Amino acid sequence: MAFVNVPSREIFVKIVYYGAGLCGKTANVEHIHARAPEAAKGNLVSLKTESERTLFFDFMPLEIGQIRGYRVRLHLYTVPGQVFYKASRKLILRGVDGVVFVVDSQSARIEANVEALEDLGDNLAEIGESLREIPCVVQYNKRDLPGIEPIPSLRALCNPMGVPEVESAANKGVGVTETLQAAARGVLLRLNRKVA
Amino acid sequence: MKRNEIDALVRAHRGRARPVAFLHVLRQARLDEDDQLFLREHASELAVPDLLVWRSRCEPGFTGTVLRALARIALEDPSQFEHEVLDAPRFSLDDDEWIELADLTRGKVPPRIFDRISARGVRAEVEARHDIEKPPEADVDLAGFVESVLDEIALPEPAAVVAIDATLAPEAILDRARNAWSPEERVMLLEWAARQGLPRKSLVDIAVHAIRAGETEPRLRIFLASQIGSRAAWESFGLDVVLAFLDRGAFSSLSSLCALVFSEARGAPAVRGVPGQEEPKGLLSAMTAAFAAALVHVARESLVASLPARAMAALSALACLAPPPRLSRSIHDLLRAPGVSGEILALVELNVRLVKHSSARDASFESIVAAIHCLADVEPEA
Repeated sequence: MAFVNVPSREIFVKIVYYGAGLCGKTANVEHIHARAPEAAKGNLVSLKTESERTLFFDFMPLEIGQIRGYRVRLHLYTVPGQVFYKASRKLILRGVDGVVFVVDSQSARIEANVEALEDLGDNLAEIGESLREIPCVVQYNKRDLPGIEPIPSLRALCNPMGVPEVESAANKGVGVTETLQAAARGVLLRLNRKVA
Repeated sequence: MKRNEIDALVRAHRGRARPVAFLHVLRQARLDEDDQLFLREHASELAVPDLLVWRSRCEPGFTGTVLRALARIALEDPSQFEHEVLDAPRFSLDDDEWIELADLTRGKVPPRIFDRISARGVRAEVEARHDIEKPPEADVDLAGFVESVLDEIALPEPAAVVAIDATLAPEAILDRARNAWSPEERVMLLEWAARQGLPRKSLVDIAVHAIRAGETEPRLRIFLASQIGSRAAWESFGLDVVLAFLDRGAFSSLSSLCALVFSEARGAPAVRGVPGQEEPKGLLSAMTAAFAAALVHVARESLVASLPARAMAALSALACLAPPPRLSRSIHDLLRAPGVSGEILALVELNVRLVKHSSARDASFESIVAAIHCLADVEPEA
């Protein structure tokens, strides 16, 4: 009798970029879209207002291909900044495997960053996750601007979890890939722990 | 919109004005007097992006309420005002508006903010530091990176998890997919069956049945997206697919499915290469029709079952869509459904009016997403 073995094992990773309004979440995904290999990237779906604020989400699928016998896919999402709806952010967070928390390094935005982190914690709790458990990377963005806070002070406020950190200037592409890699790494490590 | 329609939408959204402003009133191309009155009454609840959209919908010279709301934000939280208004991309005001804003904030905000208002100081290109090194203009090597992490963590080699007897009749393969012992096995069997050219209808039926049974794993969605990526597929299966997700209240999964379908369609040969990357209008029109038909169905069923809140949620979401003309009759028929009076009647009449003036060309991905988020706002996912 002829048999066909279907060896397909798949690693599917959903990563959500979270943070205060205009902190650079979309800039991260746009840069990855611009630099991802043509064969890997799907089309970027971006819903914005006239003033370039993310309305509901940005979405980009990445098909990394077959690696070590696994078919690897990443789905990247951003949430709208604090100004829109909790229901929308929760909708996008559902099923998340890893989070990139984007911090706006400008001194004037400290309070907004802290509020966004609290909001993230609340929304994760509502979907049965927690900041302590979920793979997370803190990205200190806009490091190229004047009037920014030193990293230790941002760390004290925005990374009480002690998760991996990356400094970035997302609009120039600085630190963007490193951030995605750190997030994907965290998710794969957690997956391995689950398998084990 | 008429005032009674807006009030009914507020009731549908459990008394909250802001979702109605964001999901309905401000999404209209034009605002009439009742819309303006509603926004004026709730100006203090609107956030900066809402206010900026509102301003863009006002006739010149009639933006006083928006400016007073912006001035209030400047007084209460100057740094938020600076970040979200003055530094917002593409923000600008007319000369008389800058003068009015300056009059409203003079002596009440920090001098730095007032100076920017007086000088019409919108987003300036700040001098960035030059000691930050830009990354090379090369492609991101994601595959190499994932490979190195997999090496590091030593995930087990994937085993051959499903053995399929290739001599089995197609119906036997489908039976096995229907009765799979795990979601993972089911998806693998469906993928294999699709590669063998088995009828799409049977494959979609099995996937829809699995969703109705509560299977929401991403791979099933990805498979389903691959099967319903065309206008014809949405016309054939769209209603069943959308209803399966709506009946489970799986709004997040439904949103992901639509995003995948839309993302893939935007890259399809039929639309790629068209200047300005035209949207796949035929697909969007079929998706919108499927969504609208599903929402009409949910509204009717809810009315029959005396579930007015659920009916109002469906009718509110339907109003986000610009329901296509082909649904005109079924929307009109809702007027005769049991329990249609008061606010529910106002919502049905709103949709009757919208369908009368809509065109298949109005279909947009944004409106489909708005409808899903509208449902999630009214009846949060379990």
